[in-house]
Amino acid sequence: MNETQKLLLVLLISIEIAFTQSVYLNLLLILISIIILIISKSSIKSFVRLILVCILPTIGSFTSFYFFGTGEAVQRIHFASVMTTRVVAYVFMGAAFMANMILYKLLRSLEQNVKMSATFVYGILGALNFIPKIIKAIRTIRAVGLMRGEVLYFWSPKLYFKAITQALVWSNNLAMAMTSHGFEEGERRSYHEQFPTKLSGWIIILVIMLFIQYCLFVAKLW
Amino acid sequence: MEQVEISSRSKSKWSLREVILMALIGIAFGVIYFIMDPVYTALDAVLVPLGLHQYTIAITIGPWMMAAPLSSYLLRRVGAGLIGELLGATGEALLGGYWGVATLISGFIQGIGSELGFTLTGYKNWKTGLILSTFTGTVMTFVWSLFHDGYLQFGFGMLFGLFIVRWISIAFFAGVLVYWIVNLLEKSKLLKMEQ
Repeated sequence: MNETQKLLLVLLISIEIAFTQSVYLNLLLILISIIILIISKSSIKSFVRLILVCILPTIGSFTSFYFFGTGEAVQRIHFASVMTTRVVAYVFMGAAFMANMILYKLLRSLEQNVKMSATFVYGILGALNFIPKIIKAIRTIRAVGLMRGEVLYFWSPKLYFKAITQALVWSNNLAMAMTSHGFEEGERRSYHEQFPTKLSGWIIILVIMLFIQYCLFVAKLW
Repeated sequence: MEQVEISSRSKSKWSLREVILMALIGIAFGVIYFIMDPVYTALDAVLVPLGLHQYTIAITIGPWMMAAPLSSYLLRRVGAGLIGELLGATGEALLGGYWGVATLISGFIQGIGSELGFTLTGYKNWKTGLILSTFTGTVMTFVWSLFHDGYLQFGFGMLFGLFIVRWISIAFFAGVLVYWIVNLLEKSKLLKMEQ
């Protein structure tokens, strides 16, 4: 499977489970995601982090649908369980996808497979390399504020203003740098590395999606 | 500091600089939301035992919706909200990691919702568009939540409360705060804005 197909599969499954209600299917998806994570050698630390992230939303989903849902107690328990497992399924599927995806390959395969514009592909790639600098910049902005006795909260317009100002300068510089290195907007590009979609990938997507439809509509899993 | 011309001559095409700008802003907003995280967790810890977890989501949805109206309001172009929010969501997804793909889907819904507000004014009056976008954004994300977050199971009272709280959050962050931020940018004369 190439990266575009992986993304497509995760998107399809995510949308499907948003509209259907099956606890067992969600549990199955979680299990498969965990197996993928183990195969791709995720660290214990990242597992602990994922579980910690899930705790509040899962308990929260369960209590709110159990207390405030409509219908009989049995129905409420079923729906509360659906929502609880759905949250966990989203988190673990997302993690499994991220663990097996190489970002530049995903962006480039999107450029080649779905004709995403090169301006977006390379613009996003360029911006992503700024993540550590942005984290540092926001820390600096807040520290500078503190030195003046001003606490910048997440609702302070000034914090956003300063961050955007920084982004304006950087985006200008980066775009200039890319242009001076020969990047031309709207020009046809040739590809050194090809990322074609594979037939086997399409078959895997088809089989998985058919299996999910079977679970939901034929076997009608609880 | 030198002035940066924000709106390029082309009205429909995104320039490289604008793509980078919106992606950077998306990432920066993502970093800022992490400041919000302890607040979110503390609030959620109180509301979860009461079965009101959905209210935590409704209260804190506003900040996630800021990229779209900001993008529309800054770039003043058809589709800027949707694409801006998608770029923002990409930045956020890669920063946060685990919500990954789910962030892209909600980014798409939020982007369309916010964009609709500007569409309703025919892309002529951007201020009215901003006000309308808080409403269309709320409706759109609420309809998505009816299915995705299972809101259909709730009674009318709970739904009404959730809608109002969500609207207040979006109106403040994706409306008032965005307006203030753009005002600051205009005053700073960093941008050559087209009036």
